[in-house]
Amino acid sequence: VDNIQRLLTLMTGDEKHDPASYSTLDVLRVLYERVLDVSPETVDDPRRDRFLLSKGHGPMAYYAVLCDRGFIPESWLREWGSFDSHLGYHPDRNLVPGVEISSGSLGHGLPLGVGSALGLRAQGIDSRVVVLVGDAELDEGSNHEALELAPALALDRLTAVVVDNRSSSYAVPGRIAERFSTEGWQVATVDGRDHDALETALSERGVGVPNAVVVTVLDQELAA
Amino acid sequence: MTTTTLVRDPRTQFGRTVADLLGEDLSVALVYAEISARFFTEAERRFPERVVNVGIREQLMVNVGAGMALTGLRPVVHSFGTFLVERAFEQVKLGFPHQGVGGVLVGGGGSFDASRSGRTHQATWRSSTRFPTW
Repeated sequence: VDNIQRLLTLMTGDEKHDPASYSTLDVLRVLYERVLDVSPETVDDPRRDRFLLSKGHGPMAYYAVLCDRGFIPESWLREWGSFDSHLGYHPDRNLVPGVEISSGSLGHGLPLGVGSALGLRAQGIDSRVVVLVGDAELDEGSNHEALELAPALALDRLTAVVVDNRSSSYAVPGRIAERFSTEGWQVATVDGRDHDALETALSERGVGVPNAVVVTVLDQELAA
Repeated sequence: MTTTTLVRDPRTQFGRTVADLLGEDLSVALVYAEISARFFTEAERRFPERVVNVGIREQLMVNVGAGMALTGLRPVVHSFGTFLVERAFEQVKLGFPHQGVGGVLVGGGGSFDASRSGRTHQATWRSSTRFPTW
């Protein structure tokens, strides 16, 4: 059995996984295994890459990946969500090593990512800031303030990863990519199960513009 | 007399103080949302990387300040008090104390100071706002 699947099962208790958690699993694995320059040894290094999980609900996949990469001990997973656990139903950066933002309420990660990208640029640090948002999370208007400003300020260290599992009530196919593109982002749309395609898209950095990677994931596939 | 009048204006003095702080401490940054732009021209000219006008986007303004704080900067975040705290209340709550980072939020026009501007520009609840550190 794959180690991450085994770790997930420590939290879920059986072989079934809730879609909110599972939709992010492949992209999280590719980010931590192949793309981000961050490790348990560099969680406090100012030059580390930043990964901001804005969509903080359903964090089991995130915790499993952090555990697999050595950021948190396996014993934490067994007790997640219990009274004394560091691992709540929404991640807390002050309790969990490697977690960059405390999230849960939607629409905060991308604006925080814009601020982090500006802060790093002001200090001459060339690290990347990668923010994961959900397609329904983009309903929140606060995202659109960030979406407009990031290209205006040429934040080419910023990457928005939109996990699109068609969970928005008023989804229009193709609109997310068009919206980012209209605002001046470099945009790629990739199949959320294709690790090589994810790696290629996530390794891109725009020149003078931020980039967005729309990751399409279908829940029917996840349940299969 | 003109100089004295200008210095006595709190927003003019704020602009000068912020420019001084930006010059003294490389970790200080200024984030604002169009409001008071004319008081920040000197700061913006001297420190373009650490002075950011986000446009008329107060939710973003507060979280941009918080995001800068996450990278080790000390942001000064400014708008009229009502837009800074009352409009962007959750951003203040979750961006700063919930992340465990600090910043200086400076609201202009507290309480009924903007008496002629009406309810939209008065921050009557701002002075009683307290954020828990949890």
